[in-house]
Amino acid sequence: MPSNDMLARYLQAVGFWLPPATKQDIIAEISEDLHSQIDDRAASLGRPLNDAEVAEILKQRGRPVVVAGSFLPQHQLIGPIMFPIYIFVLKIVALCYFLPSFVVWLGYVIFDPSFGGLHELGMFWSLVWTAFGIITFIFAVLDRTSNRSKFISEWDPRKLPKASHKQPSRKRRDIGAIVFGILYLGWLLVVPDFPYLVMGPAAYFVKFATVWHSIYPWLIALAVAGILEATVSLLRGLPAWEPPAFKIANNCVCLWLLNMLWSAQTYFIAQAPQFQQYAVAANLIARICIAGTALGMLIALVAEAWHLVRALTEPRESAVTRIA
Amino acid sequence: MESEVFENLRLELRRGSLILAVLAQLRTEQYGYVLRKSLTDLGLAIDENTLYPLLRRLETQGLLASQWREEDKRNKRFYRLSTEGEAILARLLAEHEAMNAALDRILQAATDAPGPEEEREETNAIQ
Repeated sequence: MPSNDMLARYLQAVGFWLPPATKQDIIAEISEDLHSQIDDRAASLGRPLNDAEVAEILKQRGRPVVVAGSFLPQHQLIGPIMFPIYIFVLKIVALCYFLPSFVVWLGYVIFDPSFGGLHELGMFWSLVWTAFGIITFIFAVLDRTSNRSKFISEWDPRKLPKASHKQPSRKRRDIGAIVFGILYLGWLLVVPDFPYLVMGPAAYFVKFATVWHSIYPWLIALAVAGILEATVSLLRGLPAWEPPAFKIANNCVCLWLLNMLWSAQTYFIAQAPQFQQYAVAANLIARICIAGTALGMLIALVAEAWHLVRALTEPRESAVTRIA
Repeated sequence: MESEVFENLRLELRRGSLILAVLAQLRTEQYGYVLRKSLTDLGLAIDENTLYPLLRRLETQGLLASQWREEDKRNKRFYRLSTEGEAILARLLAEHEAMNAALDRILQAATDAPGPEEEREETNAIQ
């Protein structure tokens, strides 16, 4: 009986995913239910079901692993009570330990040519995963062993931290833009004297080509414009349409500069004739980076254009409210 | 997106009602297939992959008792409400009635309250 064979194969496939203790019992019940369905359908048709009809019933019941899964208890490594604390701890560890470590690693890569950057990065990566695993394990254990009902009920509203009056997000964004804009401008101003800051150890082999002389003043101007825009926004407030309009203008200038770079073809020249192959490699990498950046800028341009349209078509009141 | 939200809310709304319906239906002994058919006939269709795990869970919680028995030359697992299940069902039904009554009052109050248009008209009439 091919139909019976199909049914047996289906039940075996479901049973594969079930725990041995309850497997036989569950399979017997599913088998009985499927047989009842098949008998019922056969009685209504007045004939035995063919293979296609049995297959249809099995398909309707569901993929074996899904059917078996519905009988298994819902497992979760960390429950909803512990999960927000777990995420908070992960963020703290990432921010206070891994981010500074990464910055130090980056500093070594840029300023110390003898530093084995890749090897250290591999070690750092392993460390990240180990820490992630340990924190997850600790929280999984805590979740299983802690007294949840006590955790939920025993707390005192009077011991909660004082309410903080957060600044509006726009202001925070402006302050961030000013701080990072000044840092970027400072970095940009010292780059001609310290090409290491851009090229790292490669500065020993190659130097900037002349095309950068015409690009550089524009980069300074864009950085200054960014700081000015954020400062005006912070001090006086700007209409909702201004940030996307500014970014569109900024992106257009950047795309024009990228086009200039793309046409130039040579971005780095060898410090000495024997380093020519490094210059070729650096130019190739730079060309790929320019193409990638241009693509990213184009996507950002479309996104900002959309933001601008929304800002212009939004009701006036909501735009004013957002600025306030 | 909207239909997905609706589907999730609908499932949430159904979850509690299904338990109540299964417990109430098992005041008389039935096996899974017949139980599912009777629930469907009464207007509460339930998927097999929801029903059978639910029956096992309710049995583990002591609300149902089951027994394998031969009927029509096939072994079938018959479920019925346990003594503990009967007590819990009575309390759940009382809770359900109270909730329904409260919901009716809330919906009625919402229907009786004047809408924004009517409020505006009333204000204009006073002025």
